[in-house]
Amino acid sequence: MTARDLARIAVFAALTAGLGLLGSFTVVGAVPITLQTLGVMLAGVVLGPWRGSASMALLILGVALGLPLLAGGRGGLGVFVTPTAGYLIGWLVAPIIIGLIVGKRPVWWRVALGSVIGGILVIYLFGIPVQAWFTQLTIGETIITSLVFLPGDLVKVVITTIVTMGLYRAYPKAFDKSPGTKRRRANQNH
Amino acid sequence: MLSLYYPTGSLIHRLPTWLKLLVLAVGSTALIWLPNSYWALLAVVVPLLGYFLARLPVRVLGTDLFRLSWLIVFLLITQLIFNEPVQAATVIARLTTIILAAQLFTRTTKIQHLITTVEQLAKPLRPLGVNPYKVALAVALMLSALGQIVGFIGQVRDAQRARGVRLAAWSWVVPVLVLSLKHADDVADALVVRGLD
Repeated sequence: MTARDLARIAVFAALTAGLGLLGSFTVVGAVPITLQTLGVMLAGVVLGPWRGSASMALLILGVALGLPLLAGGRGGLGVFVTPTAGYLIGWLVAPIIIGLIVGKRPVWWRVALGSVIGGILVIYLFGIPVQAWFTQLTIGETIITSLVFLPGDLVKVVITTIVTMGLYRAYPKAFDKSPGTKRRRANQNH
Repeated sequence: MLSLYYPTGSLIHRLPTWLKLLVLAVGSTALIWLPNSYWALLAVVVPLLGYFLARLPVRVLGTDLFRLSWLIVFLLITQLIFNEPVQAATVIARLTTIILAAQLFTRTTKIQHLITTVEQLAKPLRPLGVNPYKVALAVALMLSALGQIVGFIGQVRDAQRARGVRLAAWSWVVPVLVLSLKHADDVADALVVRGLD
């Protein structure tokens, strides 16, 4: 892992934490809606599968150390014994799926598809069983209560797609998966 | 690397880093179960007392509170729309307490000490191919980047407001991402210069 990878992993972990500072709203009791999954999606798209996942692992490590990095300033080992815990595990897997679907250069429909599958389905796949266990509801009931988050999640997919394409136009360097001046020049010539 | 460390040599500065981390972890965990009540606001007194015991100048506390202020205003508005006032007060109290406590930790702990402690904690993972030093460095970089990014968000929003841009509510995301990634590249250059690659 190069210094550049390390710095980017750290920055995306910080960015996801920063998006959490913008607030969270608890709609149906248990799990807050936040902008943080936007960070999860972007990490997969921009950093690619493994670095994206590493940045989420770093964020979760920070949370475990007691730093207030989750939405609403939550942190500490206690987070791992709340209904949210499963979603955090989903965050580790989501960038892998998103990164694999999006591939090297972002194309809008791949970003959207990756965000839906990785950023919504995968996260729910891990989150819902854990939430069901903690809240003493059945999986089916939990899925129904989770439907309230779906519109918000779809909005985040749209934002991720627009932001990614905007970022690609504004700063294509961001998507260099293996940096090096030569390769960058080669890309620009295409 | 941007360091917020402010040396005064107080008792809190001299406490072992692992102990401060433990207090932070236990404290932030306890705050999750803080019941909804206006009494929750009293929790803020704890980190404020910490600032006093750490003999940090009022100016430093002022800076840290000022940085928090826009966040508190934002929370206050959104919480009052979606939640009961009592819930809003609890959420804000919890957040302010925890962020101030974490900030107190940052103010009184050298980044080097945090890195060393995290490195110790990550050592058992070495057989799994984990490099403890890089884990620790990454945590430190994340913390310094978080401070930078909060600054970028404020900066970009102010700039857009000044230009009278009426864009989507999330129009600041792209510029903040660009600034953040450029910041990452600067940090990477600094690391390479210091012999890490």
